Amino acid sequence: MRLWRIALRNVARNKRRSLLSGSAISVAALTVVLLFSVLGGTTGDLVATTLTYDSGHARVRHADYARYETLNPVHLAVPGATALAARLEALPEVTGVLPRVRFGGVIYRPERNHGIFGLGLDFAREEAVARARLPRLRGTVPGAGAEDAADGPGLEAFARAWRLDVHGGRLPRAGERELLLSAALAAELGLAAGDKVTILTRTALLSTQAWTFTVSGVVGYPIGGMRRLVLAPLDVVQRFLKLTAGGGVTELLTYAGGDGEAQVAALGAALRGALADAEPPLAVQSWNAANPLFSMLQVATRVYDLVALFFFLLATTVIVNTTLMVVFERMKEIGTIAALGMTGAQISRLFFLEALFIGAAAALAGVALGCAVVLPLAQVGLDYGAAMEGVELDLADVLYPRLSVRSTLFVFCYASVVTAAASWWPARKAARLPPVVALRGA
Amino acid sequence: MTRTGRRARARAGCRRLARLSLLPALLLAGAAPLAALTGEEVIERMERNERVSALRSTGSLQISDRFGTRTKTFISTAAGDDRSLLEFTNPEEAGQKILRLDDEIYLYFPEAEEVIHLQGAALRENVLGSDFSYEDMTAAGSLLDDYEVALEGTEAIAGRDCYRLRLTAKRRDVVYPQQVVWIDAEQFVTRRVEQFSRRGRPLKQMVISDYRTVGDKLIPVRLEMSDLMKRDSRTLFLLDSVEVDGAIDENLFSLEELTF
Repeated sequence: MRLWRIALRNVARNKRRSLLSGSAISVAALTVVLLFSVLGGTTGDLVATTLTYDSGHARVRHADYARYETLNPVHLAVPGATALAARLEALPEVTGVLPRVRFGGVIYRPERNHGIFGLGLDFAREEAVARARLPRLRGTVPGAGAEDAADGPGLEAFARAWRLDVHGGRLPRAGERELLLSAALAAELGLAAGDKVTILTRTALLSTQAWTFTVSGVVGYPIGGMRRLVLAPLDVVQRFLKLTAGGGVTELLTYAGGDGEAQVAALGAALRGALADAEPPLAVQSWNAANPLFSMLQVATRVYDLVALFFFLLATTVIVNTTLMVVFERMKEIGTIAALGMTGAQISRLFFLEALFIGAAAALAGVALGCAVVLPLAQVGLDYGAAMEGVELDLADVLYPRLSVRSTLFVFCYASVVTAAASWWPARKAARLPPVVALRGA
Repeated sequence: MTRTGRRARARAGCRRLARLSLLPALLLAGAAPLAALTGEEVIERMERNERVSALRSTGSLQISDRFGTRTKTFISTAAGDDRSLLEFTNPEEAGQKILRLDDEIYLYFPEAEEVIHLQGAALRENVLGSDFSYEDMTAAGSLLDDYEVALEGTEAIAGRDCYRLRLTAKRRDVVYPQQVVWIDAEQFVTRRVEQFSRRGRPLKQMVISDYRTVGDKLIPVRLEMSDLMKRDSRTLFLLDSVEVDGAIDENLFSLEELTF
């Protein structure tokens, strides 16, 4: 009889023992699949957030802007952004450029003041760049142009590009003192589409300015940290902040042809080359450097790897323990099969195969169970918005775990191999037992 | 030692004793003009000099911080302790106004459709990014209404003898819980002010370096304020023209007039 058949029969012979060994592996595999899926979802969300809201693949700003970023230094602007954006778009490595103005402000209310942060955007351009970049937007209703951004579909299209929930209203019109308010801020202020609100800010001339805006629409942001964000037309914000003629902006977001490291690196190099002589000096910051959460996630990934290893080591001790018990339990059997002519190497292989079968089956069960949990969650999402209330991180309130084929296969292979490897020592011990000793040792 | 020698030593000892016994008297005589007043009296004399029933002035704020120096010019009108109107005239903020009525502050911006109403903690916010808060720029009440005063002694400030007074807020809603004020012992004008939080953390420092005599009043026309919570920041407050106790149109201090 072939060895693998004997091994399979042995596994089936004591089902309770096999199940006990296998369950440890299954639980470890399940846990690690869940961990990796959550980590994958978090990373994917952070990438999407950073690319859409923060920096694009690479962000161009005044060289001193980052130093004073917490002070909203609007005066440290990129001058002549319209011409510069056109120049950068002509570079072969660049597939899109988004000029933006980031500013801070205060809305005064008798009961308390509400700090806000604002973005001046070219809504039509934002939607067009997102459409070119994101496969999920292809085939949807085309985004409205700047001239017809007043109608409903304009806001719908923009909301799709920006992952927003539309609570009502329309996109702000270029040239009009209008803005989009977050649903959370609108609720705080008791405002709805059509109402007016006055924002006090500091301009690019470091002077104080207050304008009254009409709330054209109310939207929900996916990230808790964005609840104080207001969006207004780029040209209006430039006038509000007294930015220079020719389109002064605080940042230009640029996009490469894809998210690959090589493409983004080529984009960064091309931008640095094109802006080497810029006056005032401009800084190019790549997307993973723009968001400090990326380095935190890199650390988290290493920690998760260690956690996975720990789980498997724990499961391995169960396997080693069980296989050792099996060896001691089956002394007579070992002695008998050795007396019948099975060599030490064959006995060793037999125990190794038994462990491998248990490990592989258990790993498969654990991974399958993990997939069964993650796949529905990837659609429904895990809403931890309430738990994160007051914590302003660049992460969505609803996390969608992401199952990675590569990491799931890795978990399966790793669990099987580790289990099999763990049986090596007890199997070798069994193989070295002289038949007489084994027969007597029962 | 000879008898003559002992007598000489005794005489010298007496003279030394006499000189020593005179020292406290001399010290007392020297200190008498500075120590004769209580802290409250010092404040009252200072306020008699500095406080006016009506003030019309023009001036400027020179704000210096890590981003450079900017100048804001203004016209200021104040009546009594609780009404003042500040209108900015520099091109960047032209037409912006700050109206104080009692403990309420209203901000008018020509391009805003509503007047911004400040109260409570908002009064501590900086005016135009300067080191002065709205409270600093508009408050004019008597210190004795808000603070307990303790005379801590005398110190020289910029070569002038000054009373050093510690002011402790009587109520929790007073903007600066503690202040140390140096008042010129001869002219009875404020030379220096340091303001502290309730826990004694330094908040602001003000140095008044020039006064202008207008009638029987001494009006501070050059003072420098540093917000110690901001790095490398100071604001020079300069008054160009000062008109004291003239007739002022009371209608000026109204919301209707503010937005007119």
